[in-house]
Amino acid sequence: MRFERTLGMRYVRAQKRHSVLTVCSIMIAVALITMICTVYTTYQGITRAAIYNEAPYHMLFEHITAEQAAEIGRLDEVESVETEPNENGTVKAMVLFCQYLDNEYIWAYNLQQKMDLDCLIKPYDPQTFDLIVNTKLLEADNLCLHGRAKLVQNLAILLVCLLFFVMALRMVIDTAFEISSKEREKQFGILQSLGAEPRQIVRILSTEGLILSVFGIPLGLLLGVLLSYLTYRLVLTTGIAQAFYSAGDIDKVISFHINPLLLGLSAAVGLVWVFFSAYGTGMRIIKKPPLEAITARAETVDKVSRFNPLAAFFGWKGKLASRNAKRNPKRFFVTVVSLTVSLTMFAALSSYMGIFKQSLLQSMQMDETTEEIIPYFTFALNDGGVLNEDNPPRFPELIKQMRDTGYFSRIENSNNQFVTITCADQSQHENVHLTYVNEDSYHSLLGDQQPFSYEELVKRGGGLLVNISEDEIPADAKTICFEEEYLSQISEAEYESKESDKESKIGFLTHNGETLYYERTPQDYEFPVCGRCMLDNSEDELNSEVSMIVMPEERWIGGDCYLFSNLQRDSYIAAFLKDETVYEPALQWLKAHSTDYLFDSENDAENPYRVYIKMQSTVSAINIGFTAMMIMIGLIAIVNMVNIISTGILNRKRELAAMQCVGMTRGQMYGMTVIECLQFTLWAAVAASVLTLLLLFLTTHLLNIVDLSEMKSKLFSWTEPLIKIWGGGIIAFLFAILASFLPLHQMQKEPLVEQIRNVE
Amino acid sequence: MEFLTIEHLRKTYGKGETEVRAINDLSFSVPKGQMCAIIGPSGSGKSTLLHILGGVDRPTSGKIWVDGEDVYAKNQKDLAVFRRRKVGLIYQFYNLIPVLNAEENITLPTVMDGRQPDKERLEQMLDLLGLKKRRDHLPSQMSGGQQQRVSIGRALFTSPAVILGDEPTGNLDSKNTAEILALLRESNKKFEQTMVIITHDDDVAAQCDRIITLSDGKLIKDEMTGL
Repeated sequence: MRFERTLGMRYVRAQKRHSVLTVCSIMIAVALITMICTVYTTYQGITRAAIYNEAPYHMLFEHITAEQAAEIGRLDEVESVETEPNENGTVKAMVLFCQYLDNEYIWAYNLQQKMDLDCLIKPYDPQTFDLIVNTKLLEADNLCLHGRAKLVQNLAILLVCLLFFVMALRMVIDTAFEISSKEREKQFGILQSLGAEPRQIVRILSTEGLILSVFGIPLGLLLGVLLSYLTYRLVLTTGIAQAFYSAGDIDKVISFHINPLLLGLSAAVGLVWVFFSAYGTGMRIIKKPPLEAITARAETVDKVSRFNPLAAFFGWKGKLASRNAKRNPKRFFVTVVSLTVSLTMFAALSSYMGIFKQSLLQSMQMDETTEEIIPYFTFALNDGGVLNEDNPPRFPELIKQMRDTGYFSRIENSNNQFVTITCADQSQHENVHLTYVNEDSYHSLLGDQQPFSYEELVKRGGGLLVNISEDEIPADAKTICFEEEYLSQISEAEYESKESDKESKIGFLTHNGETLYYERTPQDYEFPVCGRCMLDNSEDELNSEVSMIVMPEERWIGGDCYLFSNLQRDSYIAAFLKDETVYEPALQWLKAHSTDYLFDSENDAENPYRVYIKMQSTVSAINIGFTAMMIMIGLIAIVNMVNIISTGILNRKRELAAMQCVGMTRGQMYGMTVIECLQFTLWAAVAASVLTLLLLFLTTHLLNIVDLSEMKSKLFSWTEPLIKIWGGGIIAFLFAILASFLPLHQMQKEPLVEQIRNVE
Repeated sequence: MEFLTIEHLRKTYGKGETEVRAINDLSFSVPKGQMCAIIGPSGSGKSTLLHILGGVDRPTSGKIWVDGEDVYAKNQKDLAVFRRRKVGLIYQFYNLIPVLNAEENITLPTVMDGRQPDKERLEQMLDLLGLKKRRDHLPSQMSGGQQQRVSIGRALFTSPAVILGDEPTGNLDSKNTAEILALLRESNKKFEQTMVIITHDDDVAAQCDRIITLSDGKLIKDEMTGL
């Protein structure tokens, strides 16, 4: 063993360049595994912190005595109990566990038996229930059965994700070992001819592997943690933390996490791969007869492909390049496959990300026709005041004021309700959408399918039938709303007089501190019909399926508001900002003028801009994560390709020298290797193009099957992924050229005669 | 008429105390069509000389003239062109390209020169080498003797001015040695090619027109065999 160790150490020292390359390969492999593990740990940590921030306990006892709380605190499985006094003399106890509970409810039941906690066996009542189990935190801390099951599930997902990387990284280490051992094959042959046993050769390489691991693995762990931290900081710059948490919560929730166990796993994987690679290389070397190793004959080739498309383009250089690349079909296949997978993932995932982003924005009804995203506010109108006939609706005034601010590009206002109408022939139509719109809303609703202008609608007095055919309502029909209960304002005295009458339909509401009394009475109302239009469903599927009667806002202000104030209606304003820069001043203005309408800037439902910011931050964060993943995949593919191409060149050192001896110029040799590199990238790019188009085709087909109408309208671009694939292919090609030129250049420094003798 | 001339050729490796003089002020010339054997003990500078003659290795000083051309006055590219047009190299371990079959290996220098191989000449060459049935075989599918024939074919195919053999029979049995020598001799006579062959085998040397003996990089004996 001593002899193997000595030789192993001396080889490491003597072959500094190769040792550095192998250490770098081990480092990259371990760094990438560490990065995946650390990103996973940080995500888990932030999720756990967010749960803890909302409810910082595993169990909460709402009403127990201080003594009971203390007794719970003394239990082995309890880590801590924090108490807060209740008004009735009891305490609220927040319990955190430190041991696995199996089933938290059985534990609570046993505790109740043991401590006679009546509070725990009361029937469930959300108002008085005394025990709250924070199952999310228990799961996050893996303290319950479900948590452990989830942990296994998460680890399984992590391992599946890691599997691809781990296999690819094995190749990175493997090829590094092969490169370093290739040039020493002759020496191993000599050692064997001197009597070294095969296992001793394997031991020499294993010793080398272990020595190099001592440097490569810790450096890889450090690099992995550093890269993860940089990615984490980069993700935070998207503002995702601010979008989801308040300033105080960010400090508690958002932090970088490292799991020593997973770091250990990364190191172990690295070490195992190093050992396997060293062992595998050793096994490959000892299979070669010593004489063959000593004479350093190039790899023999038993079969070559007659099919040579490259020969047609590049002549004899293409033929040689094509055959050289296929000398080791396994390596060629693995390199092309890893490059294909990288390019396909890059292009396909980019397309999916694009669709995902578009869908998010579409769900926000953002303007996608321009690059600029136009956010908007929407809020319901508090028009309880319309009950008061002396107090006409003030929203026209509000909209005018809003327009005057200059913050908004358009302000849509509509008052909508579903009504049942009947025609003059007494035929009924239920659930017709009656909507009063202003000019902006009219344009937004009908787009370029308006039968006439908004001015014309005002002039004709409204009643534009949308998506209602002549069969349903004839052109000359009068439409009449009937059997609706409408509110009319009554005095306090009238209210009190009718209060005892059970048949009367009276009520009151408070508006601006004033109590308004009303009575529900049925009342008919006759609509005019001024035109008809059928919306093309390709424009807006939702609107094209709804039967509507569109009325001008002027008619609403002119008196219809008193007729339709039945509290069921949906009145809102959607104010579209000119651009994102005026968001803050517009928000402040709206807050300052919020007496006449309901507006809660913190409420996501009423402030789509906040949702937009969240989505934008999420998309940016996903983009960064996606880019990091793409870089990792690309890096693995490129490192593998670089290693394999370099090894291929080094393996053929003597052969390349022989070609030069019989007259090949350096230019011809470099040209031939460029064609070899072209093959890898060309095959990969073609395969990736086919695979990506197939994936996108299948996805399109799938979306058509499930009929996701919103997605269908803007499916994948077919040219964009191809541009990405071929762009990526060109980058890979440049790396491949670099990978082949560097060893060639290094080889050219040696005299030709030494290359042909393969002198070390 | 002198076809290959060597003037005060020196080749040293290393510097100072570790300096080794592989070739030490060597001068001689070989007339066109002569088959010359170079013999000598190991380390006498035979292989170094051959590689310098072939334009594979550069001398430390001195001049080499082949067919009136100063070989080492050429730049790298011209030297490569010189190797494929004027020199035919035969190695002990053949140095064939494993991905090319016999026919492709033979025509490689011509193809590299951007020319179409002469099919008639190829047929003649394969016939001469006895490789007609093996023309599609890869090096791994051939015996040592057959591989050396391919190697000779590659050296002869471009009709180079000089054929250089680095122990061309060193790896072959006696039967194959005899056949290869006969082949070289036939080519020498038929195409009037100048040949320089390094060998350890006295029988091989004896079949050449001239034997030059080297020792410590110096010419110590130069004799004609009378053939």
